[in-house]
This record gives sequence, C-alpha cells and structure tokens, in this order.
Amino acid sequence: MALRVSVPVAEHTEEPFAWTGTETSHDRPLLRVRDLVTQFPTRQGWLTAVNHVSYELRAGRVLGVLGESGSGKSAMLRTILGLQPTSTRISGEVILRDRDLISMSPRERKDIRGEWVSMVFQDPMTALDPVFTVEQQLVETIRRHRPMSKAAASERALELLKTVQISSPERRLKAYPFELSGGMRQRVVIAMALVSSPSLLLADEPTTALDVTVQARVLDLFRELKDGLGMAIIFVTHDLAVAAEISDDIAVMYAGRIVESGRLEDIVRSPQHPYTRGLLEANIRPGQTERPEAIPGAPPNLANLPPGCSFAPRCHAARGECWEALPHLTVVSPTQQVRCVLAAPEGAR
Amino acid sequence: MLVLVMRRAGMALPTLFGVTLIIYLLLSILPGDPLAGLLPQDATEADRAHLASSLGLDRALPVRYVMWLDDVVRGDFGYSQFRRREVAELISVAWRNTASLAVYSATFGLLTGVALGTLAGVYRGSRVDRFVTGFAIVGLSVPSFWVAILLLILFSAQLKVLPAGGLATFEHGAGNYFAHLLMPVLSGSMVSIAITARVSRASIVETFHAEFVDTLRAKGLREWQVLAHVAKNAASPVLTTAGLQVGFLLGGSVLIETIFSWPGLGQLVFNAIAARDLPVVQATTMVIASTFVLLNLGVDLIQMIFDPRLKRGA
Repeated sequence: MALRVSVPVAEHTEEPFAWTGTETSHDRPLLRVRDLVTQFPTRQGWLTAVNHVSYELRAGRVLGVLGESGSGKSAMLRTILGLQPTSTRISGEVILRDRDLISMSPRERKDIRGEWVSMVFQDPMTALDPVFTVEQQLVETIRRHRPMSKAAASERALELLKTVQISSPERRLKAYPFELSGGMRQRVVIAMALVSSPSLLLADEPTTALDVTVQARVLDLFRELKDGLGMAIIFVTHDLAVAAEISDDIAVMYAGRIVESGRLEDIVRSPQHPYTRGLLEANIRPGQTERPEAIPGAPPNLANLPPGCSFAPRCHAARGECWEALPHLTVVSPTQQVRCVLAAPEGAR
Repeated sequence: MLVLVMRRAGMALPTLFGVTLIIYLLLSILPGDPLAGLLPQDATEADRAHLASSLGLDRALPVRYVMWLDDVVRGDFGYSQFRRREVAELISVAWRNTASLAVYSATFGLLTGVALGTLAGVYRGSRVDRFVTGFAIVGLSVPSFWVAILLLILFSAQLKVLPAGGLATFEHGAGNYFAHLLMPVLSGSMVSIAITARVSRASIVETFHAEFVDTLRAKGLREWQVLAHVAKNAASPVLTTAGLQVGFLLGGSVLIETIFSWPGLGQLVFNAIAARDLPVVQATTMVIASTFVLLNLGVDLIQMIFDPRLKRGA
C-alpha cells in the first residue's frame, strides 16, 4: 500500500499508529506525516490551516494533493519545509528518512532544506531573485550544500540546466531571470530544487502560472524527474486534470483536513466523498455540452470550524449526524479511505 | 552599457541648460534695483547709465542671458562688486568648505542610517525596531539648528571641550580639525540618518515579503546570505534618497553654517542675498542646482550596478 491515511477518530486524541516490527527499513515509507496540525494566530483566535493530517509516501511516488484555495495545501508544504513564521503553532510529526523534522532545531532544519527536501513554488515570475544571474543563484545553492570551487559549481549548474532541458543552457546561465520566459524560469526553479538530489520534492502549484502548452511540458519534466531520479513528490494543485497527469496517489483536502485519499484510479473512477465528486463534476469532459456543475457556497472559516463535517454546509446530501460530529474514517478499499458518513465500508457493498 | 551611460549623461545636459535659464530669468524679474547698492547716494543719471552699460545691463534680457551663459560655460561667474572678488574664487573656497563638511556628514549620516534601518528591518517588531523608528521620527521632527544649539550649550558653553565655531585646516592638527567638524557633522547629519533609516527599514521589510525570499530559504541558504539578497534588492529607494541627501548637504545648510560660523556655500548665499549681490546668488544657485543634476546622474548610474534590469532592459 503506497498511501495510507490515518486520521484520529476524534480530534485532539492521538490514535496509536501501528508499526509492525517485521517491516524492514527498505519497506518503510520515505515520508510519514502523522497528525500534523498547523495553526496561525489571528484576531479571531487560532486559525487551523492544517488539521490533523496524516499520510505516507514512498520513494518514487507522486502524491497529488487536490483542493481549492485556502484548503491548507500550501500551508502543509510550508510546514514540512519549515518555512512557517515562528508565531505558527505546529504539532504532530513529519518523519523523513526516519528523522522527525518538526522536533528538529531550526539549525538542523536549515541544513536539511534544499538537501533532503526542496520546494518548487507557484509563480516562477517572483520565485527568483531579479538582480542575480541564474548562474549566481544556482552556484550559491550548490556551494551551500557541497563545498566546492566556483568553477566546479558552475559546471554543476550547467549540468542541472541540461537536466531540466533548458535550450542553450550556456547562455541561460549568464542571464537574469527577467531575460527568461515563464517556462524557462520554472525550469530554473526546478533545477535549483534538484541541486542536492533531494529525496522529497514539494511542488506548490508549479504549473498554475504557466501557459497551457508550457504547463504540459513542465509536467512532462516532473514525470521524467520522478522516474529518473526516483524522488518522492508531493504535487499540490487545484486542477484535477493536472493532478491526474502526474499523480500515483491523490489526497483531497478540504478546510485543512484530508477528506478522501486513494490511488489515482480509485479517486477518478469511484469518488466517495461528495466534495471529491463535486471536484470531478466541476471539470469539463470531452463532449460535454452543458455547463459544469459548480460546488455551491464557499469554504468555512478556518478560525471557527463547525463541530461536524466541514463540508456539510455545502453538501447536497448532508443529514443530521453530519453536523454533530466529525465523521469517522471509512476504509472503502485497501487503497481508498474517506471521511464521510455516507461512504459504505469495505465488504459492506 | 557604455552607450546607456552616455545616453543618460546626455540627458543631463538639457536639464542643466534649463537650470541656467530658470535661474537667470528668476533673478532678473526679482524686484529691486541691482545698481542701487553699488552707486553712491549722490550719483547722477549719467553715472547710473554709465555703470549700467559697463555691466551690460542696458542690453536686452536675452542678449544678457547669452552673454552670461557664455561666461558661465567658460567658468567665469562674474565679479562681486560687493565683496570685491571674482565670484568663481568666492565660490570655489566656499564650495570646498561645504564639501568637506558634506562628505563627513553624508558618510556618517548615510552609513548610520542604513545600519539602523537594516537592523530595524531585520528585527522588525522588536525593541530595536521600535527604538530606531522612534529615533527616526524625532530626528525628522527636531530642527537641526535646535540640535546644533543644544550641542553648543553642552559641549562648548558647559563642558568647554569643543570649539564653538569656525573651521580648522588639517595643518592645525588632526585633532583640532575633527574637533571643529564634530558638532556641525552631528547636527547636520541628523536628518540624513533619520530619512535613510526610515527608507532602508521600509525597503528591507518590503523586500523580505517578496516571494523569492522563500525560495532562498527553501534552498537552505544561511540567514546572512538571505540578507545579502534582500539588501541588494532593497538598495534602489535608499540610493535615490541618499542622492538627495548628499545634494542637500553639498548645497550647504544656511542654518548649520551660520550657527557654527562655517564659511561655506550656505553662508555665502545667505550673505549675498542680504546684500543683493546678484552675481554671487546666481552663481551659487547655479552650482547647487548643477550639483543636484550631477548627483542624480551618479545615482542613476550606480542603480544600474544594483539592478541589471535597468542596464539591459532600457
């Protein structure tokens, strides 16, 4: 099982995670996120951006995290990377290569960033420093992680640009970001993330700001990198079509929680959660003539979540119990889990 | 690059020409008879006409302007009947005095301002930030002449450790030289410190919010490396205000120079206005305005070093 979602039955109670002793380190997942909570202070109190999220990811797999704006996707990535401001309240575990990142000292985390885990940001137009050349920005990253001469680092920078398939890489090396197109910039950002061949790559909507044709080519690149370098990727997107292109597994996030997870084909063929169905229906399919069905309403206020299912106010199938308590996690199949009272458990169908 | 520099320098020329035109015209339409102070009480109309023609004042305004401009271009700013000296000579002495004061004030003011502003920007919201922000508001609100007077009372009148005014050359000993400079520099650079600190703080805070800073941190760069990136990106507004500050300081502060009897441009122009010494007023205004134009040119060229987009984009 590549992806397993474990959500505590009731909030704020730690569900014991069963780790069988027979598992060798080879079988172990590269990344284990357990009960991760990220809260920001606001005037209305603590805003829970990431709400008891748990999942596992093996090397060479891509987890597509699907959800609309404000569902906590980006906040989750930034928490894993350790980029949240110090005022943020974080609990839970993020275990990468058997080390818990959350309990690490800021110094250790800094050493790990770009080394074990790195990130590709949404907008390549603003992700690069405008007043330094591509070469300068790559070389400083390379030398931060591997002490070497500037000349050697330049060589490596050139190799990286070739890896991300930039045309005339020698020339691009000397260029400033403003002299490159959006697609090329995103390739540079990706090259920068690959400097130390990290085990885990976090991608925060990396194709959203790009033209559709460029988007397809950057997705191809991600797929090749995954296969070629064998790294695990968490690919955050609001676009189901993009997620379907690249992901092995899908986690659907709503209001900071994972509401459904499974293999890509599970989610696309038999979505269980009404929200997942809504997301699928909001997509235009070939040959479709009528307007796509939009999900009515807006996501809830994360600083003041209702006690029950956060999707209930927008759910057409909501009934009394949905409002009262957070639905239990239902195991639909060995690879698919959903947090909805309507879902039929495995074997009951 | 060179072409761009030449083009930018070429743009300064029409500006300078405009400056001469405005200065000359403004001073010619000023009320008051420029001859009145030069003629004796019992002068006749003939004496008056003679003086006017010897000074070229009987010609038409455009002709007078062209003659004046012709002289100015050749470095001849005319003769001060009042001071009985060549204007160019008066100005070059005064400019040197003002410049020495300005160099120290600018260096001290800008460096302190950038240091304080950076500190406040990096530790925004902290006690250091509150102190710097408060200090900057005080520095901007308190008039520099008042600070000058306070310093005089404290260090000259009470403690008697610093000279109350005048300037010493380096031959009088380095200690003596700097003792004369200390109070004028301190009071004269107050505003520069305050403005530079405010601008650099604001620019650094804004740059820290830029998304590329996240990328830098995601790459695992150390905090000083991140700060180096932020500083280079934040430089532009600081350079622009720094240029203005140096311009003001090179123009000479009338108040500071008067209080500390510093024989600089400020004092020269102050006395010249009081005496209706037109050639001196014209020339000093001209020098001060040109200083600004040239400084702006310099700042623009320095900006190109900090921001490559200016170099290649335009």
